Amino acid sequence: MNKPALLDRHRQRLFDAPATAADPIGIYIHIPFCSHICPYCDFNTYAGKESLIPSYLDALQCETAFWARDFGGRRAQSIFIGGGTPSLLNPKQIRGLLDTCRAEFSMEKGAEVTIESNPNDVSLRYCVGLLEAGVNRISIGAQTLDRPGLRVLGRLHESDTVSSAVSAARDAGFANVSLDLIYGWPGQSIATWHNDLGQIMGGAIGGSIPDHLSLYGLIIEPGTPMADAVTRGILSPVDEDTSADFAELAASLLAAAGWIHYEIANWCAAPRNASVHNALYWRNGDYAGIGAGAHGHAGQLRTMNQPSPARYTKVVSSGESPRTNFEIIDANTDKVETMLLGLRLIQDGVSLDRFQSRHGISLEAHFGTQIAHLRDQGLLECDEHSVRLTVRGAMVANTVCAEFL
Amino acid sequence: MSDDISSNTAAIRNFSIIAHIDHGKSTLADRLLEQTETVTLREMKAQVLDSMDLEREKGITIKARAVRMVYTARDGETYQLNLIDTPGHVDFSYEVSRSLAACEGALLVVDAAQGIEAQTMANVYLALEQDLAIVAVINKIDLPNADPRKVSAEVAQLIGLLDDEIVHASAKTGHGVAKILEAVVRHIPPPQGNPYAPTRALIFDSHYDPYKGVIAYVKVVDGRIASGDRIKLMAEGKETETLEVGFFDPELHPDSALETGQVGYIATGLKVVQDVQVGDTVTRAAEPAVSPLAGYRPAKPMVFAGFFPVESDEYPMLRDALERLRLNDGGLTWEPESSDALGFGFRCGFLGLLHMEIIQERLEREYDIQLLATAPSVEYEVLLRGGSELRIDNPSEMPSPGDSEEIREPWLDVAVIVPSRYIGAVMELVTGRRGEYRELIYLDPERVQMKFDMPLAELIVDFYDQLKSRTQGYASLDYTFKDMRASDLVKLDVLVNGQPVDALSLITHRDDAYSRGRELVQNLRGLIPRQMFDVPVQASIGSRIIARETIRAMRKNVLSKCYGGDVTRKRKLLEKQKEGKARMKLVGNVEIPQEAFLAVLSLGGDKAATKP
Repeated sequence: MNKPALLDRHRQRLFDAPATAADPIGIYIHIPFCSHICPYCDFNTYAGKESLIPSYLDALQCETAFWARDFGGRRAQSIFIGGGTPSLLNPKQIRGLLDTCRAEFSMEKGAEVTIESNPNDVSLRYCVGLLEAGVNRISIGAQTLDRPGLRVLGRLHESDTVSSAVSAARDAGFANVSLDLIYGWPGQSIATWHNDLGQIMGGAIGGSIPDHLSLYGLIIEPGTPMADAVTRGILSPVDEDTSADFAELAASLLAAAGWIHYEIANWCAAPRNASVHNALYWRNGDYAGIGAGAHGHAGQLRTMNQPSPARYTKVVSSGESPRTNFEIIDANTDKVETMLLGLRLIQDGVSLDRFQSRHGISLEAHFGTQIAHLRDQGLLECDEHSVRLTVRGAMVANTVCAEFL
Repeated sequence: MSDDISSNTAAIRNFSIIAHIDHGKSTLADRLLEQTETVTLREMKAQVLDSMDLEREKGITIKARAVRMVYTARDGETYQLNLIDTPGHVDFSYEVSRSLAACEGALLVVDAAQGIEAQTMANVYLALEQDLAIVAVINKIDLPNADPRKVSAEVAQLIGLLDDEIVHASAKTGHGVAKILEAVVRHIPPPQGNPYAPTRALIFDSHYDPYKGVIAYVKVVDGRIASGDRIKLMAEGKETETLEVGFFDPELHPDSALETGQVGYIATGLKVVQDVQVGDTVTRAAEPAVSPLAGYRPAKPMVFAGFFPVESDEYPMLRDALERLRLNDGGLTWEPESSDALGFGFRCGFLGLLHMEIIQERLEREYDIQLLATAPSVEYEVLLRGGSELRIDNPSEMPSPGDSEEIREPWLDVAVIVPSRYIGAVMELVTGRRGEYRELIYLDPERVQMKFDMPLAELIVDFYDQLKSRTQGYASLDYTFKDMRASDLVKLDVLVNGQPVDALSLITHRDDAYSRGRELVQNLRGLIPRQMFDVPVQASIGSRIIARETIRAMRKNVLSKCYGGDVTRKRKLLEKQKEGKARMKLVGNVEIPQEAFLAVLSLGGDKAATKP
């Protein structure tokens, strides 16, 4: 963060990139179920398989124990229940998962516990249940407040649903509420986007301003129904310039409101609202990836699990490992990943000290040429502590990161 | 093969097949092989004679092939039939004339629904010039829209054939194939050589074999050649011992000797393909012939383009690959070239655009070389102000306007056969390409042959596609070189970010320079990806800028979502982006993709005219 004074040293440590083996790990739990698949989604999720949930949860608890053993007593800083639609689970089921994590891992005090949710599911009662289970951060998938936009994105809720979800979360006592929004969907205008952001920042959604926003430029992934619609000429994607206009509008509105743009797609109202769990990914840190299709990272290993929830459940319950793929990250690739992830942390960037202690070589010695070249182009800025993207660099981060490959 | 056949010239028939693409030549050849049991059903696959993958894919014949068949005719005699397969595309008419020189007759295959096409006519004339007997096959009579009587009448009128020299057939169903074989035996004369004269054999093709050296495809005109004979190649004077002789079945089939009139091969053991010139005469060293057979003109490349390796360290590989391709391709020429923009490569000469495309694909597929090809050009003659002359096949070598007195470019004799309702469309296209109308002949009440003079440079820019699209695919095209004519030509240069890019220069008629320049920079703006800074793209004649566009700097290139599950995926994606960049050429500090170097290909008034 550029305002370290606001953070205690303990918390700042959770934003220093890259992470090292001495840092606590994160726990990601994947819930691959949705009542309905959105047309742009290419995540590992399945509709109509909710009957698998009880046995699937049992399998998750088994796998949690495997990971705890693998990490050999390392402390955990955060839990993130993502999906899919984790809010398909009831608070009791959530509590069961969290209890297992707390039993298997020694959690840091005040560990961040996030759940992703569908606005339709977020009632006051539900939120109270989540808080009681130990969830302290809720991320609500609003996507847009524009009615035609919700239809293009295939969402089954209205902007009112988002409002009630936000007010329910607040009323229940959530002090860390995040909204996910998508921009650049086919047919979106700069005015509708301005309106989405204006309503949210004006407190018109659920009577309060959220603490955190994730703003994603829509990527039309091949193989999705939306990509098909584009191919057939039914939808036309927005062009690079429009998408850039959207991104710049968001950045300037949120900056004017005093928000912190701490990662390429993430903003927080105050440093304490930045996501500790997600930051661990950008710090190239270690995390357990639990559940069907989940990815984990432990030292040199990146793992991926069996994507089918039915098969995952079967394999785990027979005592076998659900991992189907793993990749050994060699020392050079690890340094590359430190850069392409760490630079996403716009405020903090990649720390020179941290790079040295993680990789055993100075950043200057390993990537000095590339950094100088990118700095000359105005895409990176450096000081004695860290290397960071400039505002322009953040808009073209792929071009910047490709230099380190 | 029994001795009485192989030594009996009267029982030999050498013929080739002339046909337009898709009129069924390869299928007919397959049927002939089946009928004569040359290839067993087990070995039978479609297009037996087309062995290159590219040939099967494109449904065309590129290289000439030969095969020997044994046929017992109704007269009770057993004949040896040598079929020499020929390419059908105009680019390869050179190969056609070589094959025809080894034959006494030709089967003219015409689609019963389509009628005769321009290229076929050109090849028929080649055959007639060489005094070949012609048997016409009206093919595909099983098609619902076939009109064999009308097409027969057209063929009879154009070539003057008798009724029994025209066979109605369907290569697909096998109907008429027996009749074709009978007609071959009856109407095509046997070879007229002298078995007792000193040996003379015509080389009509060759290929290189790593074990047997250059394999010469020959027709023995006089005398005989046996395995182990010491032979002499008359043009080069080179002597060698034959390692093996034989015939084609269609694979190489060794035999003891090739007799007068027979078609087969000689394994020369020679390692240098230039020693075995196609068109040369082989004789026996012990008893050499006095004079060689009439050879034929070597193929002359008409279209030129630069081939550059994308990875500069693949330059030696590219050289080796071109060297190998030239072994079997007399129409391909090349010499080293260096470009400021593209580095070291080769200026290659081709018989035509299809030929160029095939060479490019073979280099990429068979030799796995990533290539950057510049837009094709023609060869110009420049008369310099001191009176000396210069030939250039690369626009970037064009001297500055002040230094040249006159620039001459190749003109073609162009023939188009088309249903008469498209006369206007063809006329408009050709005159828009500086073509000059010469004559129009009605082949029948609905079909005409139109003749034009046109600069070759206009033909290689997308002309064939335009012709096809304006005539809904009905037009067929043939052309031959006519003469060199002086034209008011200028060199158009392209500057990207202020730097001239030599590989993008082109030569155009002065009247078209402004519109081409404008169109070219517009196309380039769409083809060159956005860079990290604004990039001006300009077209100039000499020092005068005639058009300008700006490629705006890249504004956004970022993956907005990147979490725990995306790391490997994201890294791979960036690696792919980087590979894409590696395929581009860095000119100054601008990355230019391959397609941009071909932007000039899609130029032309036609395209502009179809825009709204």
